[in-house]
Amino acid sequence: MRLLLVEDDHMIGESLAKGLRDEHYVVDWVREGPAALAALRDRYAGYSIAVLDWNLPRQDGLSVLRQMRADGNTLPVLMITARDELADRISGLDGGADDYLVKPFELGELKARLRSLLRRRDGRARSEMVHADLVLDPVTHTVRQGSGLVAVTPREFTLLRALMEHPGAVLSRSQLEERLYGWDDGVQSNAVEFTIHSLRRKLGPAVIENVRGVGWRLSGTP
Amino acid sequence: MSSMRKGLTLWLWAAVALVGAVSVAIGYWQARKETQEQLDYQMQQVVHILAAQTFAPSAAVPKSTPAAVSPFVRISHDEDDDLIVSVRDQQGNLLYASRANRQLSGSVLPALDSLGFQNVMLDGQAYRVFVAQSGDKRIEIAQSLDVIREAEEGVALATLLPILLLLPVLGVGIGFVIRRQLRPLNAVASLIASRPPLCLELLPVDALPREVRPLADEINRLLGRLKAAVHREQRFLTDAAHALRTPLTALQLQADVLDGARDPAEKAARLAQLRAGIRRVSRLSEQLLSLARSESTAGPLTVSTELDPALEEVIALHATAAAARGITLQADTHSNVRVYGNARRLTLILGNLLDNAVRYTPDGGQVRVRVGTEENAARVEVWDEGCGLPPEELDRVFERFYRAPGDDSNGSGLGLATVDTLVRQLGGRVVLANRVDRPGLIATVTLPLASELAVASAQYAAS
Repeated sequence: MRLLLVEDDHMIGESLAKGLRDEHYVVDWVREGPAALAALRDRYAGYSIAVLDWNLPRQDGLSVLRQMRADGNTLPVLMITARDELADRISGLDGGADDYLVKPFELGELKARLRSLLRRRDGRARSEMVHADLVLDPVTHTVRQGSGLVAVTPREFTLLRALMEHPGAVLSRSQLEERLYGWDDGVQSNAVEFTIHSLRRKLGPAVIENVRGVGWRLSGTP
Repeated sequence: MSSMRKGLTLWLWAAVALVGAVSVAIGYWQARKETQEQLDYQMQQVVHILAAQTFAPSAAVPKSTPAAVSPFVRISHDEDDDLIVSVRDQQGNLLYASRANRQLSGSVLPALDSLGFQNVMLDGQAYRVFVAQSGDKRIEIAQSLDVIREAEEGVALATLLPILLLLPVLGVGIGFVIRRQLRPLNAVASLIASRPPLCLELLPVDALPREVRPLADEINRLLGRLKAAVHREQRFLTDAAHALRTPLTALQLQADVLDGARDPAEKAARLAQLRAGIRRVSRLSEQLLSLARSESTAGPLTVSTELDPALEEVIALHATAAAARGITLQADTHSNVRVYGNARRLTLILGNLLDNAVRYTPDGGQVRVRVGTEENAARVEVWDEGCGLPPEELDRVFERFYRAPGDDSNGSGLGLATVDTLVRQLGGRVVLANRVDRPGLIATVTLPLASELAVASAQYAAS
């Protein structure tokens, strides 16, 4: 799950990036408005969600937001800001933010709001994702199959989550790589195959289906 | 507390009382004088009448008094008030005596020698007597002075009574008018009193009388200044609260991610970041405090400080931090330069500048401080080897809480604002310029030189 973090304060940015990576997000962190716009315009980045600070050097968050909405980008955006006036909250939300969090906030709340935004984006009623007998819980970071708990690594979790977000859809290798790696991570050439292999070993070989020449998808009906 | 109303009332009352008293005195005197003249004239008239009458030497004393002859003479119905008349021939034989003569123990008026008006004591009572010689008749006419006085006083009282009655009315009227005319003052007072404690809106002055206007205008000017001060204060508080939010958010998040650390090394790294966050907040609070202090203490400049010791102290304070990063601190000092301001202010100014210079200079770099003098001013330059600032940022960085884009230093955005405030208070100025020889900034502070004479006179004036 790839997340764009736009925050100019380096202490806040550093801790947010850490906290979100702990939550198995793949985090790209930029610190200025123009850089944020450039990242958002990158069609191959494949972001699932963005955390956007209001006060940014060179171009503020609200104008970044308006610009990306004008570009037709519907990415869920959570705005974080020290501005707590009603008028600010209103103009933030009207400017295209999907949610609004006033500093200082706790990491737990930010994570919960991100989950809620993702749930809404996928039209799901619950945080848990279900496919056949598979249940993935982004809150507790657990995967259950039938009644048994399956221990998965963060990377396996992220990949399975990407597949479960779009049940039935085929995700290409590069799409899956985008979900697995941020800008700063070195991509290993066979990492996707390796992760799928280990997931098949844990969940059973029939769970993930290979569509030759295209990519992978979850097999069976949801 | 002095009261205008009381003062006005008392002074006007005193003036009215004085004028009243004088006019009463004059009126009384005048009334008495006129009454006296009137009565004297009456006596002369009676003598005229008597002179025209013939009296037989044997004639009986007439029953009717001359007063009865002429109602004009009769000034009282009381018998005691009647004129006493006696007419004698040349030999002194009594030709006529009025009935009132009987009140006198001697039966009749004694014969008097001198003619004209005189006051005489008869029977222990004072009389006014008029003696006239008419042909062979000598006419004496007398009237009790008590009666005369009574008449005089009656007349005087009749003249004065209206004045005496009107005085209190006038007093009450004055009080009423004063109270009424001072009502706008009361209105202003109650207008101010009825406001909520922190209402600093200007007073409406258009309807006020001309005399109250200057006072209200001054109050409004004061209100205006107060409002500006309160506004500054509120802005400072708002700015400060905002400035605290960012480092507090960082602290919160730094604490939150401690739990997520998977191994001891990661935990230690995250703990170190939390500590750095705490240092940042305490530094910000210190800077807020010194900015608030610098803005509030603009006292008279009676103290002067030598620049060198202050600079040495500041350099010593920053030496460890600089050495830890391999930065050399070089100072070209200049002895015997004195500037106005106490040592605390100077170390705060120099400390902030040196702090910035060290902060932005890369590891292994050099920070130079140069002290010099120019005409009437001391000049301190702090040279760093940071990356400098775009020209448009050189002024903006002096704004409170402003931080240049791309500034990763965790600064509070208050250091330069504090320096600017302090330097201005000392009558100097501070400017930033990019270095020409290499990237970096030069912060230049100019402060007025303290002359011994000026310092001494200022100290004398202060004592």
